[in-house]
Amino acid sequence: MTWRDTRITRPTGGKRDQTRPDGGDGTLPNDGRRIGTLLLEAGEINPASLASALREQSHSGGRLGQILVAEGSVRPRAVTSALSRQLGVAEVGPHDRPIDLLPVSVARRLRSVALATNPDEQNGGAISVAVVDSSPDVLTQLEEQLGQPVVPKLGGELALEDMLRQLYAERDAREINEELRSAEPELSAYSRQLSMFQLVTLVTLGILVIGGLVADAAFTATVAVGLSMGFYVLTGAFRIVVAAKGWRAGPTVSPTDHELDALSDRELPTYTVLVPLLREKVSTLRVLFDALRSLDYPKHKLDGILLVEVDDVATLEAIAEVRPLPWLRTLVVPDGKPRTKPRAMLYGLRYARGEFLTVYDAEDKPDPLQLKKAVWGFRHLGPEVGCLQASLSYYNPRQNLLTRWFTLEYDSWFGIFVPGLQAMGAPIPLGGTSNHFPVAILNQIVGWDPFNVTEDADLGVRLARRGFGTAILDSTTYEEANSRTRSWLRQRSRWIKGYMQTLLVHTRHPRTLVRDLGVRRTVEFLAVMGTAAVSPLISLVFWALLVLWVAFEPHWIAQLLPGPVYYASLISFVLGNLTIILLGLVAAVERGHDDLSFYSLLIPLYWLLMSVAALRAFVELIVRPHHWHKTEHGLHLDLDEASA
Amino acid sequence: MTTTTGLVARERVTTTTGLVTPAVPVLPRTRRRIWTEAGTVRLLFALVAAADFAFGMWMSSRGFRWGDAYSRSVSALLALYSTDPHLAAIGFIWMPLPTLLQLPWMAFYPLWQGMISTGFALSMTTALAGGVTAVIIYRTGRRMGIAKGIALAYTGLVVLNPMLFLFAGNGESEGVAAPGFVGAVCALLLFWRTGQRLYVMWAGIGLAWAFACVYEAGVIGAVLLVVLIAGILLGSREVTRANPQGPWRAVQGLSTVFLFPSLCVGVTWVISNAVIFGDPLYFAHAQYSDGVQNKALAAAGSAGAYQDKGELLASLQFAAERTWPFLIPIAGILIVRLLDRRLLRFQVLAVAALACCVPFGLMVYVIFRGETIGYLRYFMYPLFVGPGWGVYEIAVSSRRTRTTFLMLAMWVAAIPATLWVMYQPSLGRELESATLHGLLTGGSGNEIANTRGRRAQGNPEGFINVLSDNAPLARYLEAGPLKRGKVLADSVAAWPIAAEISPSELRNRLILSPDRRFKSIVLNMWGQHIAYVVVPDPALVPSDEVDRVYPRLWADKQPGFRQVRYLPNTFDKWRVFQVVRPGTPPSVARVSSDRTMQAAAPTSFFSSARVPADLLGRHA
Repeated sequence: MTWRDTRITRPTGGKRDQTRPDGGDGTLPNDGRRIGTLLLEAGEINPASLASALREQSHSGGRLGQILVAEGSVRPRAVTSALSRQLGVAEVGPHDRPIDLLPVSVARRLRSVALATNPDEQNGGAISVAVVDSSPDVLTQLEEQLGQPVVPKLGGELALEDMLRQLYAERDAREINEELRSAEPELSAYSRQLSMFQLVTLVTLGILVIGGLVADAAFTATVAVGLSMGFYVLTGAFRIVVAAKGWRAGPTVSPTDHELDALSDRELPTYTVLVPLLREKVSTLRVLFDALRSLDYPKHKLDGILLVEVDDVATLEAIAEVRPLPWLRTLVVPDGKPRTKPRAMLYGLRYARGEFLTVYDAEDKPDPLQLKKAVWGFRHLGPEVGCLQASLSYYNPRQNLLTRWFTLEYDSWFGIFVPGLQAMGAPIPLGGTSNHFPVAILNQIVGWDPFNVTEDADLGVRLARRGFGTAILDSTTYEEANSRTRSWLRQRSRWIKGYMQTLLVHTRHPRTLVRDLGVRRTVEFLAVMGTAAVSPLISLVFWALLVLWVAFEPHWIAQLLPGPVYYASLISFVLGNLTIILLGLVAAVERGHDDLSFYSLLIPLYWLLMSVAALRAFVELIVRPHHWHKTEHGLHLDLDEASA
Repeated sequence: MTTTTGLVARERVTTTTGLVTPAVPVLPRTRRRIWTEAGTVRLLFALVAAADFAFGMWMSSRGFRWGDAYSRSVSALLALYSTDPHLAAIGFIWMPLPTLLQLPWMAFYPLWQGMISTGFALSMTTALAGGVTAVIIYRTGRRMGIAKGIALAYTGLVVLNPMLFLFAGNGESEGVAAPGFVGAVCALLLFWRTGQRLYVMWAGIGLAWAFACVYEAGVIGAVLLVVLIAGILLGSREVTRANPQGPWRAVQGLSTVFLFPSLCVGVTWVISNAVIFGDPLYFAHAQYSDGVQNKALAAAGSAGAYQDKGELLASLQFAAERTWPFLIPIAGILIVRLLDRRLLRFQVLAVAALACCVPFGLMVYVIFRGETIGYLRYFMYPLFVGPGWGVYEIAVSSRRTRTTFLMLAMWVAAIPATLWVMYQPSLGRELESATLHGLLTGGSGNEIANTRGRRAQGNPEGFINVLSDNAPLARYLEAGPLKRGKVLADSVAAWPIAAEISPSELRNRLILSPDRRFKSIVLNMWGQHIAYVVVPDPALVPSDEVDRVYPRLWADKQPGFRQVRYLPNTFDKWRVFQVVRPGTPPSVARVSSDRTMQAAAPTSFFSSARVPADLLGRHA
């Protein structure tokens, strides 16, 4: 075995040596020995850990210190100290105080923070700067930025992040709320005002309806029913077309085991994993950490960030109790409104170090190979692909009838409809988790909209509008299906409210929308969002009409449905519903959920629940559009504990 | 990664082994190859459909008109253009799909009244179905890895089978059902071959299509279900591998997938009967239903299969005489398996059961009970099983060349055998024999009918040209009664008139039984301003509603009516009466007690199930 440490460039030589006063560069006598040796001598690691880390280094590259930290073999602070000795660079001390001298973007990019002058130090007029990387290149850039000589002080990643947070948290909190609003105000859900087009359309419709009702109420109602039915029939037909395409297409990115094996770990990039948490239980976190531990990816190349709200003491305590994986760090999201998941993720994005980024929820169990598959996919697809969406399914489908239906719904959505949309090139409303992005693209489109309660769906559409595609990854993340009706209704009403928001946001300026997406994809977008946001509401009306007709046969219902409308309704009711049930049934069986087949026959009852959620969503859209109903996780664990 | 120049947009890009599909970018579309797979499929469909359609039109133009098929067209016509147009007018006795499929053609009826009388609508419907059948067989072959040339040759031989070819042009329900049956068998075998579960859904959809056309699909469906289950439990490695939750769960899931479409058809049918007629089994119980008419026919002791009632051996012999040429391809499959030493496997039992379940199961049962006349088409079901299974045998055989030769040879051998059976007047008694005779001699349907005699005279070799037979009645009504007032008739026998008169009179003057007021009008013709009523001989059409309510009317002994015309040369011996004064129908009390008919009265009914009284048999 070769005892080969990663060498850290010493801050000497080159241009920097010529510009700095001799002996005043903050350097200490350097030890010169390898970091592994230094850590061994300091008793921070044992030889076995070092050997293991070196093996990993020879296999996947990277810095030894990072590998040791990621494997949990050493404290990050010890690595920093060892590096300090090795490089002869002073370490950031407990009394060092960050000051806001560097522009935030530079500070983040160079991972450096200026420090307040310590009266005990003799810097010869130079500014102390805490750095993670004290290479000449970084220091030169810092000097150019500050216009003064710089004395580096070595800090660990966590220490630097902590300083950045101390300095910029408030500014970040403000900026993440305003970034999209200022960059592309027409695409932000912040404003509740309708655009001129929407206003004119709404007023015109209102006048037509009121005028029609005054002039001939029966005829107006018949026209309204006819138009609704037309919409229903068309969206139903669209779904069937999408399903047919989805079956033929399947997932886009489907590497074989052999191809994944051929991926060199050395070439794998750093991957950021964002995990937004809110009021999570210890049991939930245990399951989460177990799932993340199983990710088949070099751990030192994982940049895991647990996003916790500043006042979410319960989650912070739970994290402390469970002790997260060494490669996961906790990032406290500063206080602010709206308190939504996208806002937390936007904050996390600012601290992301990876080339790629994914999002997992607290209850997720991703496919261990998912990150490698995503890297493989991004490497093989063109740069125009902005997102890879993995499939979602549930690990508790058999808990009760609701979870069975929920599973069946996901089976058909991710099994056939999403691949179908992808095959058509339609904008894809992303799923809430397990979507993978190149960080550069995510930054380019300003990330998520913190005011949209289905930020994932909105992001999919914005990606499409900016010319980026979404492809489907042949990998499944298992989640917890909501097993309580009230909780499910809250979650679903938030989703539908978000679809309504997304529909309203993107139709503010139809011409721009058509210019961005083209006519065909605009129609597809309207069909997808219309089906998700409007159909459940219309369904409720038609189901009510059906029940009334069967129970009382009122004459006015017959009047509402003249010949062509009646036959369209009949075809839609019989053929449409049965086809959609069949598609769901087949999707479930295709995904191996044989035992759920029977329950798919009862799924119209689930649709009824959806309609109720849609009604609630509609009311909420008006009353409190940005309110985020938190989905309760770990309900199945409660059940397990109770049964135990 | 393999380059993809030339592939169309979003077609999968094959890497060394995995798959990547371009997410959004569209690769430039290069010039298409002329002889692509898709092009072959389109050409095959067009050629087969055109040939079937041409033959169908020839039959119609020469007077070889299949009554049941024309009845379907008229039902569709009445649904759109009668005095009370509504969808339920398509009828609730026969399964509805063949009629529903003619609705689009009928939308153009006002533009071209020859839509029915020329046979265009019905021939086009089955011709398109024939084209689809050909495509299904061809694509099954290709998906099973058979070379293009062989798949085309095999498909060609199958679609040229005389019975399949005839029924792909004559508008009968069997022709519409053919792609469903053939597709169901093909999809099931593709599932066996590949383990892809999606094929089970297609098998289910195929079966549902067939079930929406003919009741016989129920029997085939039951056998297919058993075969599916056996395939899951005992089948190929591919099938076993596709069962992540084990075989019994797979049976549960895949059976549900397979049965769901047919269950939907069945439940929708029963609910429709219940909602519209107040009897979920109206199609089985009603005055016009096959069961009721068959009982009446059996009581009359008519010709055909009825003579074998109660005789099991005779019933079996009756079925065997008609079925054997259709079993030749099945025999080929057994020979192949024997030569390959694969005879003692469950697949042999499966193919035998599928091929024989209708002719030697259902048909022998109804012959034994005296409930069918036993037309040749009722025995043609092995022809729906053989195509897919033959392809499967070629694909799985270890000696593919020999198997291919044998299967092709068997389909070739089936052609003359089928022709021989069809040509025999006693076997191809519906119209098969007459049509072949017409093909060989150049004689028209009417000439042959006149030569052979009509069935009304008890000649089993004769046949009726339904439209031309009723044409004199239509011409008479148009010339007089329809100009003077409303005319009432039960469409059970009078349906051909609808295809002969102008759309405006159909909409305004001719009131047929699909009209939801029909029952009440029959009871009070004077009060409802009916000027004339048309009735057939009740001995020939016992289910005619007017005859039932006024049993002495046809004999001209009913007060309040005056006979104005008698057409003794028509098959149904039509009489036309003028309504001259109000009168109480003598049988009103009896009618009122008929719950089924009362339930039907407020809505509507229409049976296109009417067939000549001495020929009543099972219908498609």
